[in-house]
Amino acid sequence: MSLGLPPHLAPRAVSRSFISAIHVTAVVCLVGAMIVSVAFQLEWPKLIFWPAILALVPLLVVLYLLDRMPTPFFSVSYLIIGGASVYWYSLTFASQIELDSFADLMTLALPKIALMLVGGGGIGAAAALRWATSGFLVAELASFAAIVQTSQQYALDEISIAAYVIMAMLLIGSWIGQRGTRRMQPLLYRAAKEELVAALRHRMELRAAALLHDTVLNHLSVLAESPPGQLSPVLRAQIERDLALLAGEEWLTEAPRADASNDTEWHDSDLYRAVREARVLGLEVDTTGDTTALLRLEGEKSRELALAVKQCLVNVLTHSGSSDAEVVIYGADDEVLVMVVDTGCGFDADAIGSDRLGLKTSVHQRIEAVGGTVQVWSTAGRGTSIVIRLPVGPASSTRPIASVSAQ
Amino acid sequence: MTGSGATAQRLDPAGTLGTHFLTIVLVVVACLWASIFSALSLSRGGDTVPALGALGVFAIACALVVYVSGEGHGVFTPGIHLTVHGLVVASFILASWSSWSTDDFSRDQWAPLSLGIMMVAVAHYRPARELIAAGTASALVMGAVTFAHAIVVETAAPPLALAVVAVIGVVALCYGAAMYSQRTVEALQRWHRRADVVAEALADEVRVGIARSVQQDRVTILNRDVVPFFGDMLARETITDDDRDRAREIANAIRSVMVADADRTWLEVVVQQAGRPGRALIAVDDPYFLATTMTTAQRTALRAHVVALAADRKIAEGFSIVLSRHGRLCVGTLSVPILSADHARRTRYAPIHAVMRVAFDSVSIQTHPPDLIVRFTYEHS
Repeated sequence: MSLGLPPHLAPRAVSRSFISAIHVTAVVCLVGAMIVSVAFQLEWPKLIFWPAILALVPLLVVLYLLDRMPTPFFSVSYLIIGGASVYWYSLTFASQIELDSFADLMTLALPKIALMLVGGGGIGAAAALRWATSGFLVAELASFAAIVQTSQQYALDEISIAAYVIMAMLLIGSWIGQRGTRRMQPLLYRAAKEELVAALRHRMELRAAALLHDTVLNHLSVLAESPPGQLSPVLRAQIERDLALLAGEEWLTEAPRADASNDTEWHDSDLYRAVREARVLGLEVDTTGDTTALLRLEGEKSRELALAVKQCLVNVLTHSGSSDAEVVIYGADDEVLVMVVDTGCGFDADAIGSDRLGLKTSVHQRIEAVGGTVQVWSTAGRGTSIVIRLPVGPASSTRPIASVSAQ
Repeated sequence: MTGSGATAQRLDPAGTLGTHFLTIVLVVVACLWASIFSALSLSRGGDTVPALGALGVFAIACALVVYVSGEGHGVFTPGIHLTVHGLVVASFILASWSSWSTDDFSRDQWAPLSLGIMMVAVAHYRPARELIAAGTASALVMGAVTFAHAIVVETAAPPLALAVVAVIGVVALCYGAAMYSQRTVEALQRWHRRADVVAEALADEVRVGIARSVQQDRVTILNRDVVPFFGDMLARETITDDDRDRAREIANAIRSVMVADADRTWLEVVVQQAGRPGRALIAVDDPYFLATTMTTAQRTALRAHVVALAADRKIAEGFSIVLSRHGRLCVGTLSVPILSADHARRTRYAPIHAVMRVAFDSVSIQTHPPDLIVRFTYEHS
C-alpha cells in the first residue's frame, strides 16, 4: 500500500536523501574540474595545471568521509579543507592563464560549487541553507584570496551565485511544498489498519461459515431428511460433536501459528512441504492449528492430503485473484480436518466446467480414494473455503461428495 | 513495485503531491535561466529564429513537466520523462544553431543546466536508473555538439574542457536527482518493511479478539435455536415429523442469516460504520459485489476517502457510491454533494486522490456544482 512516511520520520528521511543527492552533485563537479584540469594540462603541456588536480583530492576524501558520517565535525572539516583546496585550485589556474572567458570562470566555479554542497549536519531546509551559505562564503573568500594574489582582477562569480540561488530556491520550495501535505497521512494509516482488521474478520467469517455449514447445517439437513423413528447412532454422535463444538471456548480462536513452532514433525510433514512449495510459487500461506493431529494420519493419507492441499493452494494462486491463503488444521478424536481458506474472487462450485480437473480429480477423487470427504464453501466475489476431512485409521470406503455453493 | 524501478511517487503519492510546488519553482528557475541566456545570446549576435524556436520547445517541455506532476494527473510515466529529454535536447540543438557562429557558444548554452534543473524537479517521479540513463544520453549529445563546435571554430580553451563545462550541469544535477530518488525510495521501502512487521504483530494481537467476536455472533443465533433443539433430540433419541419440520426451519433461518452476511460487502460495512448519527446513510449501489474484487491497496484508498468524506461537515446528505462493470473493467463513482460552493474540498482531498491514482487504473475528479464527482476504474480479477 502506498502510504508514505509518517510525519515524524519524513523530515529526517528527506534531509538524508537531499544530503546524499548534493554530495553526488559535488562529486560530479569535482570530477568535472579534474577532467577540465587534465584537458588544460594536455592542451598546454608547458604550463602547470596538475597541482589543481592534486588540490581536489583532499576535498574528495573529506567529502567521502562527510557522506559516511554527516557530523558537524566533518562538515566543518570539509569547509576548512575545501577552502584550502579551492584556494590552491584557483591559484593554479589564475597563475597560468588570464581568466577572461566563460569557460575559465566555469572551470574555477566547479570546486566552489562543490564546497557549497556541503550538506552538513542537522535536519531541515534551514540547516541545509546555513551550511550552503557557509560553503559559498568560504569558497568565494578562498577564490578571492587566490586571484588577488596573482594580481588578476577579481569579479563576483556569477556562476557560483546562480548555483547558490538555485540551491536556496530548491530548499525553500521544498520546505513550503511539504507543509500540510501529510495531513491526510493519519487517516490513510487508520484506513490501512482497519482494512487489515476487516480482512482478518472476513477470513474468520468465512471459516465460521464453512464450519457452520459443515457441522450444524449439514446435520440439520440430515435430520430434516431422516425418516421418523429412532435417532441413528452416527447422527447422534455427530450432533453431540456439534454441541461440544458450540459450547467450546476456542471455537474459532486460532491455535498458535504452526510455522512459529519448532515442531520438527510438522516441518518434516508432507503437508508442510506442500505449503512450502506453494510459497515458492508466490502464494502467502498462513498455517495455523493443531499440527500434531497430522501425526495420526498414515503415510498414504498424509501424502494424498498434502497433494490435495497443494492443488487447492495452486487453485488459489491461479484462479482466486488473491495472493494469500490460510491452511487450518483441526484434530478431532476420529478425524483430521484441514481447511484451505482464501478471500479471493470465489466461484460457483456447482458451475465448475468439466475442463477444470484440478478440484475434481486432484482434490475430491484423491481424498475420497483414502476414505475422506471434501466440502467446498464458496461465494462468487467473497472467497472460498475447502474443508478436507480424513478419518484417522486405515483407509475405508469412499463417501459421497458434498459440494455446496452459497449462491 | 520494488527494486530499481520503484519511484517515490508510487510509494508515497500523498507526500509526492507536496513536491509539486517545488517542481513549479524549479521549472520557473529553468525557464528564467533559459530566457536570460537566450536574450544574452541574441544580444551577442545569435540567430533569432532558432533561438526563439529553442525557447518555444523548451517552454513545451516545462509545461509538460508542470502538467503531469500536478494533482489532476496520474503517474509520471517513462514516456513523459523521455519526451522531456527529447524536447530539451531539441531545444539545445536549436540554441546551438542560433549561436554557432558566435565566439560565446559555450557561454550561451543554457539547455544543459536547464535540463539538469528540470531533472531535479522530476526526481520524485522517476527511478534513479532511468534518471541516470536519460541524463547521460542527453549529456553525451550535448557534449558531442559542443566538442564539435570547439574544433570547428578553433576556440582558445581545450575542446574537451569546453565539452565537460557544457555538460557538467546536466550530469551533476541528473546524478544528484538520481541519488535523491534512490535514497527516498530506499527510505520508503525500509518504512514499508517495518510497517509490514507492525501489521503482522497487530494481526496477531487482534486475531483472538476477532475470532471471539465472530464466534459470539454465531453462537448467539445458535444458542437460541440449535442448542435447545439438539439437546431435546439427544434426550428423546427419536425423530418425529415435527422434528424434521423444525430442523428444516432452523436450517433455513441460519442459511438466510449466512446469505445476508455474504451479501454485505466490506464497502457497505465501512459506509455503515462511517455514517454520522442523525444523517442519512451513504448510498452504495453495488449489484455485482464489485467492491469485493478490489485489491487491498484499492480498498484502503477508497476506505480512507469514504471515512474522510463521511466525517466532513461541509458534505451534505445524499453522498452515493456506485460500482458498475463493463466487461472486466469496473467503474466506481463517488457523488459528493458539497455544502456551499466550497471547492477547496477538492484540494483538501488531493492527497487521498493521489493515493487513489496509484491504486486504481484511472481516477478523474470533476466538480459539477454542488457535486464533487470522483470516478475511478480498475480491472477485476
